[in-house]
Amino acid sequence: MKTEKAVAISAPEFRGVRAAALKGFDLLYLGDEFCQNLLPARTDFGAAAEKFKGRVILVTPLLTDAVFDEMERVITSFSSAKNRLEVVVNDLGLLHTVKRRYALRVNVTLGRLFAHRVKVMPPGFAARFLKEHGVKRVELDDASLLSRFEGIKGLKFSFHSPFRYLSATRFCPWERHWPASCALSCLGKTQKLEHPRLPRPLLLKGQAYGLRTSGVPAHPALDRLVKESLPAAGRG
Amino acid sequence: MKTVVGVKTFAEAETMLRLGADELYGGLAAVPNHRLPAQSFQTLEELKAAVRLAKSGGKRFSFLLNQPCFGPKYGEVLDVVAALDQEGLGACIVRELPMFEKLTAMKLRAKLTVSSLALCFNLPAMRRFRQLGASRVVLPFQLTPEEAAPLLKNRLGLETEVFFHGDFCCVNVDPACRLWSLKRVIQTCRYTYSCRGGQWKMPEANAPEKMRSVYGFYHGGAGYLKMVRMENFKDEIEVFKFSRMLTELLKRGLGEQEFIRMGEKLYSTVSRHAWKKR
Repeated sequence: MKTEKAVAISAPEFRGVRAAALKGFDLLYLGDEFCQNLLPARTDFGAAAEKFKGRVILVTPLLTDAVFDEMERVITSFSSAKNRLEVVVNDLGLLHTVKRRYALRVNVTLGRLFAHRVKVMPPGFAARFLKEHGVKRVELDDASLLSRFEGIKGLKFSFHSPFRYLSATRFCPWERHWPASCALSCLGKTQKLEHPRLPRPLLLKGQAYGLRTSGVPAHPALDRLVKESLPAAGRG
Repeated sequence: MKTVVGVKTFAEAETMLRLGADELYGGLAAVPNHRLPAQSFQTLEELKAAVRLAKSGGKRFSFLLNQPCFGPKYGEVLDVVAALDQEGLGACIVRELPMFEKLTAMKLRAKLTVSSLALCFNLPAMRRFRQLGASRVVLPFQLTPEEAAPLLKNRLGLETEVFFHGDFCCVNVDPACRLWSLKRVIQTCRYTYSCRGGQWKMPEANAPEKMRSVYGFYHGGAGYLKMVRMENFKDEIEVFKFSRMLTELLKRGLGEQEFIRMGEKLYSTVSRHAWKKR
């Protein structure tokens, strides 16, 4: 089985990315799973679809109503029954909306935040829930979660590295305010946070705190690797 | 705005009702919920008594089911809910989708409230929860009043409840937070970290921002104001009184800036944070 290689880039980062940085990747994950200020507008998505030779996937976090409509516009503009758009979904409202309105033109992938909600469901309920919402793939960054989805037929997995998220905030740690205004101060930066009681440093990347990871688990249904950008820590 | 106050003993329930709480809520130590067992009722009998007490005064008592509990004890959890329903439980505060489905099937008299931990961030999510049987939504801590405006003004018939931001706000998206897994201890979010260039604390809203939230939710139309459960009941009483002071200010019809100025002053003089600093 061929393993697809994907690169995850936020929309503002993509605006300045060089073509060489995209070389060797089959897929482009455009957007962000943790911050709605890093999502692509239609113009961004269109530009990415032109610039990137492979398939572009829309990546979304929890969504407020302020950006919800624009995400729907991206979906309607760049999907059709013949050219289904893959969307990484972390929000129940979007998941439900896709099921109701766009089931025939969207391939739903469950995002890393939502995966934690599904992993705790009774297995039978989880399988039915994923089937009803057309979820074919789950994004993971923690190998221990693979076993939590065992037994759900037909499900594929993507694995993100070298950053594993542990927490996400909506109070911007870079600019210290709620997310309504944003100067994109997080772009191109990672902050390393150390504490003597913690075994490893925490990393702050965008609106997510997490850990640097190494290694990718082997699993028959894991057929996609997603490279997260992780600028040298501490240069924030 | 009506007040919804967390309690963990019958005596606390009596006290809070006497102080004027409009509604109560609480968990049971044996049923997983989003606080430590010590912050919940220790016995079902005492919890039942608190439910009856609230009901006898025409007040609603809500039971917390805001943590996954689908393991071997799932049946016992549902038995607890059924027993409380018999006593006149007002509502269950629910986080997980399978639990909504199960409780709806049980045809309880108690209503269903969407926990803040269910992350209802937008109207389509709210619509989905209404379909699942919810009649009230507790908005996630991490939504600002401006972002929550469509939810507060929803025409779906759902009531809205907000946490009292004037005291505390968890800025990390709590149900998605697994910082505890680092050391199996909670509140690593409170550590002072070292980083290049100095020290780092995970930032949270400052006093003016907290007051702006209180003002925005009040004028945005939130129906219920919720106080978090605390281990120290004296602290909880202080927070309740502080919320009352701010509500009185709001009732006077102050403008936003004036309210923020006065609220900040109270925050730094009479709130529990001010007392602790001293």
